[in-house]
Amino acid sequence: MKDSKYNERKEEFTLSTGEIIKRLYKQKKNVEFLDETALPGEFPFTRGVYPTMYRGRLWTMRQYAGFGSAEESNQRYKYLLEQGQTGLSVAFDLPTQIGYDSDHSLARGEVGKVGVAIDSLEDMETLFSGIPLNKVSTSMTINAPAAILLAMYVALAEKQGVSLEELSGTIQNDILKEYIARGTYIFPPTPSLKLITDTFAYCSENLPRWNTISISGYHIREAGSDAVQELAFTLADGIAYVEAAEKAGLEVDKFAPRLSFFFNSQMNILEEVAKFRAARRLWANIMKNRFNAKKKKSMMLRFHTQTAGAALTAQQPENNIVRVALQALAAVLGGTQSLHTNSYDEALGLPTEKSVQIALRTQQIIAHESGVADTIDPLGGSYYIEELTDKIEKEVKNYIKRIDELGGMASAIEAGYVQQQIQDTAYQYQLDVESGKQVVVGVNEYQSEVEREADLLKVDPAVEEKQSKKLKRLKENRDNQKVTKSLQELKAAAESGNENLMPYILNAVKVYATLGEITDILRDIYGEYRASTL
Amino acid sequence: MEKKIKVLVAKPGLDGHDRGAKVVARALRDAGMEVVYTGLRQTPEQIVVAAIQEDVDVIGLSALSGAHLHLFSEVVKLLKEENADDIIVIGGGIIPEADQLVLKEKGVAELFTPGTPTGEIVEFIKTNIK
Amino acid sequence: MPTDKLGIDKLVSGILASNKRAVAKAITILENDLPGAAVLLDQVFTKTGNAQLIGVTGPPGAGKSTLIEKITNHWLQEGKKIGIIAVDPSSPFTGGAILGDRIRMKTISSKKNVFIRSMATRGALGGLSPHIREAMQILDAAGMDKIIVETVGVGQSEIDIVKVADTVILVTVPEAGDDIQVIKSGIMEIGDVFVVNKADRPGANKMEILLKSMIHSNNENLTDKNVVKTVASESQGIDELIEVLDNHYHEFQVTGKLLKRKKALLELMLFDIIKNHFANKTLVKIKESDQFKNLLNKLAKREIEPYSALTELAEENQILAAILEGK
Repeated sequence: MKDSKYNERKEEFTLSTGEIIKRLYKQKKNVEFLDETALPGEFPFTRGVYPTMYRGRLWTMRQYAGFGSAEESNQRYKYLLEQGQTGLSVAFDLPTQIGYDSDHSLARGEVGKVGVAIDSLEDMETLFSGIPLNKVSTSMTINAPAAILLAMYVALAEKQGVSLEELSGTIQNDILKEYIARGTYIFPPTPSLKLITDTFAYCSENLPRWNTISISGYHIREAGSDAVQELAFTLADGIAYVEAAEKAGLEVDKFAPRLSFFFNSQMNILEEVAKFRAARRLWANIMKNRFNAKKKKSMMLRFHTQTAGAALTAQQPENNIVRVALQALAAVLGGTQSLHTNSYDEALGLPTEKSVQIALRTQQIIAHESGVADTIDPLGGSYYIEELTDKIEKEVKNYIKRIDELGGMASAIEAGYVQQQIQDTAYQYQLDVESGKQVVVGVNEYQSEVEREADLLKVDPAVEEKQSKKLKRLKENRDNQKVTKSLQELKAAAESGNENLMPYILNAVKVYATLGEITDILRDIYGEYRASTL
Repeated sequence: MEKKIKVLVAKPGLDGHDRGAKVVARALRDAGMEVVYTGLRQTPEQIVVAAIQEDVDVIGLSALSGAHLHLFSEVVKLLKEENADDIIVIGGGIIPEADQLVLKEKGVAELFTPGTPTGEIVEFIKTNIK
Repeated sequence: MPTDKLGIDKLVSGILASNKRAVAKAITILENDLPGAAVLLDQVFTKTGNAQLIGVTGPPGAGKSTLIEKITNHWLQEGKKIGIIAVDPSSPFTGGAILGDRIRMKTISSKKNVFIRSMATRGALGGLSPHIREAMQILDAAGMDKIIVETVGVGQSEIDIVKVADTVILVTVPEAGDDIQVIKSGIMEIGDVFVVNKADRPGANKMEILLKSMIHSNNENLTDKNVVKTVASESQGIDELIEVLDNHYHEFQVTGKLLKRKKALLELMLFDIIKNHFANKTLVKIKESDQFKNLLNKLAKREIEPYSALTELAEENQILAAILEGK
């Protein structure tokens, strides 16, 4: 194809995987979308999980938020709901995510920083004060102690007089990607998987509308993977969870309909759209063929999307508004069920109310002005998109095969295989940016001299102290005999090894045992995970 | 024989985002340095103990959780207490300009925010160690 | 330069008082051949020879660091002081290295009676550099009871470990039994104690039997007892391993084998020093001399033969002459 008359501006054009992009894509025979059965709402759901998609109902606009104290976060949630947001997404601070109360020595400097500090049911009551739980769907980014936070939410619903059948929302509950990419693990894999399958079992009986897990590729991508690795490792995690649940005696069609996914939306719009389409087709086939699922709902890959935090630049931060818009567009063209758009100032610090509003408006403009939500899978049938969808599907299958050979995802993680793959890609990307092969506007090209410091939100440093005082007061005022008894019962149940711990955790949170107290009981029995790979 | 530059790369606090720390560790290795990587969830005390035993020239700290003010200054403070403040401390992460000023005042030599080419960090280390 | 800040004398008294900063600075001087290295080594030498030197090697992922962590914890409870040197390979292309073993020893890395130092192989053709041994001597002089060196079982460093240790522990895993090639030739002769770690996995018994049979055909000094199964992550088999180590060391002491081994290690050390000194000082001096350059020019013009050149060089250099005469 080389013709000196038509020189191209680059030696080669590539995807995030390094895969070379052709100059032109042409019609191919036997392209799967041409199959009459491949309609939206039909197996394998390549074009969408629902028959009407956004013509029926728009995606849920769900902005991840939370910082400082429960009071402050409660204010932010009410503000977001007033602005037209349709679902809540709770960010917890790191001590909460790792099961430490705010007065723990390791919590120093971290309380209220990346999310809200929750130590007990008392904080949860404040967090949702004035927000009836049957009127919102709530997503909680919580993993290692997910069972405890879910128990607090359930206890709160009971206090509000909301029936459990009405509760809708999601707990992230995805521990495997914590070992790979995000780092907020507590226990080793085996007991962690037990806690996860306990929540599966509990929810299938009690919370029919609750998504029991959000199997997350988001953080894998943020850690530096490419699009294929993101999908491959996420689906491999999914396989591991289904296997664990089956091993625990659960029937696949009972829990599989409540599995949900969470993906990243990066800069290459068309590659991302193909990734989302391939994801649906792959999972449908995995559930049908590998796990013999019978229900259609078990085969449907429903997912939340967040725009890529790693694509935000600290230089010329306003440019991030455009980046986020393009990434959000890709997610919508890819058929996401819910979406978080990042704020343009997040490479500098916590977002302000104004920047959060722009991010939400971006979604509303795509929904109501752009026209892309008016038909289903508008890019389906594009030669490029279809070929890319097939290609990604094939490469993901190769990865899954390799992971199966390594003995499954848990073994592949233990051997450091997954982490190594991601790090290699991350480093290569960095080298490409530094060599100029990958242009990042405002960073390695088109730099501006003057940088303006954006207005930033500051977390009140007094949160840590306030939170500690609150804990002290709580421990003085609660019925400590009941707390001790509930913790002893939890301990006995955990030691027995074969009981579902959810009811015991629920009892403990109801009498105001703290997150740290409950986690400590489990830490003693299960031990702590220690990363051993580089 | 020229003394090899030795750097400790650590993630203080509870933050688990180690992409940046690992990319920097590799870049320093590729620049011929020896990098001790200590992984996640290090307390300032552990970092200082490691830096002293490893006798590093530089400590590179990475934090994206917003806890940098407390954690980075704690490392600098403990180094002083141990009479080891000849070790240069640098930091990376999402660190607002106002905080950068505070940290530099406390003795952090330099701070690198997202988008910094790794070559810049290598250069800084090479020019600033004695 | 550290030597300017801390004089060698002061450094030595620091080492003898178990001051960690002094120990660390001393290792840096040795590792980088900085001025004062030789004096430093000589000044601590009479205080060495008391520690038990243990080498731990095995393939990546065998759980060496976890095992070291567990035995260290055991010895700490007995009031012992432990020095650990974790060796990782240097990149042959850039000379840089990522040293990641500290990550795996988190529970002991900040303990008072533990000193951990990460070192890179720094060339040495993939083998252990002599600086590893020198670092061990500093730890020895600083009063460590046990000094453990960990090397990854890749390349020469695995076999080289026998040159620095009284006792060599070879760590392996059950799966290694499926592929006999994993147990490289030569490795069976250097091990004193063999550990099948992660023994809760299938194949552990098979691996144990395999190791025992290989011991019999390779090393008459060893018995079945020197093979131990452990699950280091669960602390299983650690007491047994300690017992085997103690017994082995005790037997070594009473039979005089330990003295023999220590003498062999010293022989290697002295030979290394001579070689090093000769290569770095004498040979470099000769190579940089005008006479050498003149002779090289003559060689190029075919005016002189190589061995005649050697004779001419010896006329100017007493050491070279002495060596040639000795032959």
